[in-house]
Amino acid sequence: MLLPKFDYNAPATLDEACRMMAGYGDRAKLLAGGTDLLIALKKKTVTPTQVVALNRVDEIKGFLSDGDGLFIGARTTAAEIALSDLGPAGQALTQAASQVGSPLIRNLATIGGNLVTAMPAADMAPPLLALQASVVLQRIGEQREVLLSDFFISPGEQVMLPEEIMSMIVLPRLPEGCGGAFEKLGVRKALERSIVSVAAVISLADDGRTIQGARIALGAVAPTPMLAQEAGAALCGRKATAKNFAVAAEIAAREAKPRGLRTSPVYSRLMVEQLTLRALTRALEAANL
Amino acid sequence: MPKKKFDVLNSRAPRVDAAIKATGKAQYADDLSRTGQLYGAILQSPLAHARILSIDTGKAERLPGVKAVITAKDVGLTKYGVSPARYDETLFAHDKVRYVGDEIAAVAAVDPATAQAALDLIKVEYEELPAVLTIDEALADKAPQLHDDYPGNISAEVHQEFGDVAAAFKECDFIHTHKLVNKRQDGGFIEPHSCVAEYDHDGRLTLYTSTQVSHYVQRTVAMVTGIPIGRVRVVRPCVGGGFGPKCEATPLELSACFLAIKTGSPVKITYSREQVFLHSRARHQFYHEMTTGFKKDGTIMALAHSCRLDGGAYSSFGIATVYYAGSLLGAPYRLPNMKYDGMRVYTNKPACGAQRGHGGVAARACFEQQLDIIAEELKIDPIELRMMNMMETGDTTCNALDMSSLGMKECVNAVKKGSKWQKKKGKLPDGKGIGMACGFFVSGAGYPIYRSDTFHSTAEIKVAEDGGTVILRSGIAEIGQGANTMVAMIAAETLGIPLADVRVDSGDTDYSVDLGAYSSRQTLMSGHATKDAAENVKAQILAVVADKLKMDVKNLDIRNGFVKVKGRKKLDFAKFRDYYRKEHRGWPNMPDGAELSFTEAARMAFLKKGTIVGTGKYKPPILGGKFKGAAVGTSPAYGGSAQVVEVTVDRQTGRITVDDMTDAHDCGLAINKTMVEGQMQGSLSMGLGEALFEEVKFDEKGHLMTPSLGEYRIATALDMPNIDTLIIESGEPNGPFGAKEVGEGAIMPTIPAILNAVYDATGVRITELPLTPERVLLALKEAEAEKNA
Repeated sequence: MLLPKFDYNAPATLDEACRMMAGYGDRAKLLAGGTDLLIALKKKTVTPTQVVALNRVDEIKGFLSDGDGLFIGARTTAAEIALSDLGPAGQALTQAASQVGSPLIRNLATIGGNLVTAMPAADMAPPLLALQASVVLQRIGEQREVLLSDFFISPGEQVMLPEEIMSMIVLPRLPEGCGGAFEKLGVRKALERSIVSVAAVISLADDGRTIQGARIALGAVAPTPMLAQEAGAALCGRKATAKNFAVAAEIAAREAKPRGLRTSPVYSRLMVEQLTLRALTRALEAANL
Repeated sequence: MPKKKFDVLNSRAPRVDAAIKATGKAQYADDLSRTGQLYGAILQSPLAHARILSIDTGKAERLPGVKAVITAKDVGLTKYGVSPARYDETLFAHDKVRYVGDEIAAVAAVDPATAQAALDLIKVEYEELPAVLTIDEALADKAPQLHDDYPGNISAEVHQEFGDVAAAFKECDFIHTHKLVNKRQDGGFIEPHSCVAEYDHDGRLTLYTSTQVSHYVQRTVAMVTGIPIGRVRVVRPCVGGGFGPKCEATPLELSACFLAIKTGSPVKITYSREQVFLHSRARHQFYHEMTTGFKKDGTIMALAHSCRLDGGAYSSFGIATVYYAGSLLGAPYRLPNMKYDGMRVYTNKPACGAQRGHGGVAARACFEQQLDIIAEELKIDPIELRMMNMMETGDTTCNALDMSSLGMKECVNAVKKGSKWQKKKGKLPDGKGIGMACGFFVSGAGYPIYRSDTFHSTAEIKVAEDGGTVILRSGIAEIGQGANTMVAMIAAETLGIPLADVRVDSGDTDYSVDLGAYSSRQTLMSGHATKDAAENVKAQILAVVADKLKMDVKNLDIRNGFVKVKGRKKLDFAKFRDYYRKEHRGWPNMPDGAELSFTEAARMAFLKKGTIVGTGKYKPPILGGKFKGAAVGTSPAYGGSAQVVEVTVDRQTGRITVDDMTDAHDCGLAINKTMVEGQMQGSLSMGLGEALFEEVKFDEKGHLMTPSLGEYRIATALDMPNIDTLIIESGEPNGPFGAKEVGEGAIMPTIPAILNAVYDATGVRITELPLTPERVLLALKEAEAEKNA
């Protein structure tokens, strides 16, 4: 398979990149890690005349934290996230990042790329949903912040305008006593698209047993990564017990909307239940550490 | 056979190609580039079954940069294939296409992009025909027909009975029936097929190609192009794996040849990964049903076996596959009565062919599970049941296969001990299981693919005129498995010189006839031819030495690079040395040691006789029975293997983790222990992938759904457990230095050992592969529901 012809643009700043995107509009595609884009170019499922590479735009790479929360540059790679310490709740994200593809892919693939491709099985989407992330979208002279839960539309489709660039992912500061975990089920142990993935983040009250808030997010069981809102809500104010986790897991399985593309809906729901239970159990362990 | 001491063999010598491979200097077909080279591309059918109404290549021909466009009109309709009994392919489809991917035309252009663009300009009008995508559809009344010559879509049918199965069943205390279905596989080799063809001014065609079988490719290319066979030369560069699907001439190679002839320029074509899947020629899907009768003491009495194979659109190796699927159950257990009904069916999908463990892998997976079922029924340990029925050296199977050496019992004992079977079997917690299975395989097909008295391997050894280097020329196929190292070691051992003094040039049809790397034949057959050539060379050199020193040649030998006198005597060669030193004044490395070196001896032989060249050859004796299909399964020797596998089954998700594998293989004699272990590990990895992950899928229109190694999942490093590899050396009388196969036999027990371990862990038998989490979990739930009902 051959790459088609295109112009390669290499802006040095986000501002320059934004101006290029404003000029090219939907004739252009952004290149970050390239692990998805290069395949799509070769398969001709996308046919841009312009490729705008972000590899010189270092201002959208890396981590920054302040009193409000944590900012992750959209060009930060899965490998860099997997190796970072994001605290007991952020483990949901580091665990997901460490299971993206293979070491070679993780060295290239970026967190922003993982989100903008809007794949139902994107590994880092469920933990970010569970962590209440929002994304910052940039165009000339303008930026907007969109909650990740409002970001995805359908497989391959999200809310971004053709000229927008995702610059960063914002994780709001979580209270003390939070813990998170990520569970992924695949057929093999690496280079695997999830059959089902689940991220859970819970926050415990000072007693260490009462759940103040819980967010459960599911991957690969709906047209987009999704929050299992009722399942999370069902845990609020309850004690963190196996029995309550089981109830929440059952609700999550009902909330899933599997399409039966790769596994039967029955199996997908069973796995949502099982993986939710496991993720909650491990999130509790993380919160209590 | 008493164990001999070797100077080169039976060691862990580094591969002779280790340096070029480790440093990236090795050249594969796609690395080659010739002056003025063009790039080819092939137009393939988008429909599974359609009549071709017209082909218009005009626009493509007019595209600047396009040098040639060829269709069936240009290349003719010579039928070819693997077995002459089933030549059912033409290079290009002319009347109709039979699968998504069937070849229609090829172009050569100045660069790959222009070649691709030209394909888009070829206009083909189709009349779509209903397609048959499954065996049931293909065999249905009034089913659409793929080939006029093969009515009913039946590609091949086999009916065999050895002994009297019906009578034997009457004597049985138990009769058990079991089924198994696997899925279509792919070889999953790293290097896609690639070739460069060149046609010179003298009408000679040279094809550089990634193949396992230079010889058969040469023959097919000559037949289809009409060029005399002596003017077709096939050269194999480094090859990144084959596993079977590179065992026949491909449309890629034939297209490149025709394009080179037409343009007069070298033409390169390389398959994309998707095209590798579309060409396929890998493992079939088999539907096995086996009924085994046995006595309450555990004696196996009879097997009634039926098998249907989903063949795809053409025969490829299929006629051999359908026979192998039956005949390879003849051993390693004593089975006096065996009936087999096999049928290979055409469907509108890429053709299946041979893959590691040709024809026998799914059959073995079914049968070895049945042995465990019987053992459980009789409350006998599965290992004990196997040992009770195990053949030994000297046994002959009911279908006339001769076990000239068989270290099966040693293999079973080795894995039993190595895995600590007795501490584990029946004692593991729920969800953990241990299972075992055995297998065996041919050590080279007893007959060539086409009927012929040809030698199966010839070799030529030339000693460089200075006496310092031995050059081995052979047609063998080094495809990554280490064939070059194997023949180099055999030549060095036979000649009595260090391995470093042997250089191997191989894979060129100009060098010798060798049938290639398939049916695990090269160690035994090419090894024999090499040994024969080396013995010839050694005799020539020693004859000159004996003459010079006025000794009886029978008292001379060469070992470790020096001429020795047998017994304790010292060789008196002072005059010899003086002469040598005078003759070679000014040469570096003048010999001054206490012993007469091989180099000195070989140089003296040259000075006396001219260039020293020795040739060697091998073909097996007449083997097997007289019945129809008796040839398939015959071999001068058989390798055997036993395996124990431990698994963990996650009862909540159905996910299986293979925790440990213990494998023992009887390879007769390990020429190179590290390479033998490599073959064992590779076989186990391929078997594990096939058991747990791998499946080539198509949609309802016959389109490939798994066109990449992302969709088609072979085992990753993380999926492989540690493997304990135990080498058993039974000493094969028909093998060179006692050696026989390891490349394919080792895969035989893997799938059933995993299936038996899963049963041990869960109490549930699963009869469909692969064991995906969903399939396993649903089977567990079904079993639970049945238990509760």
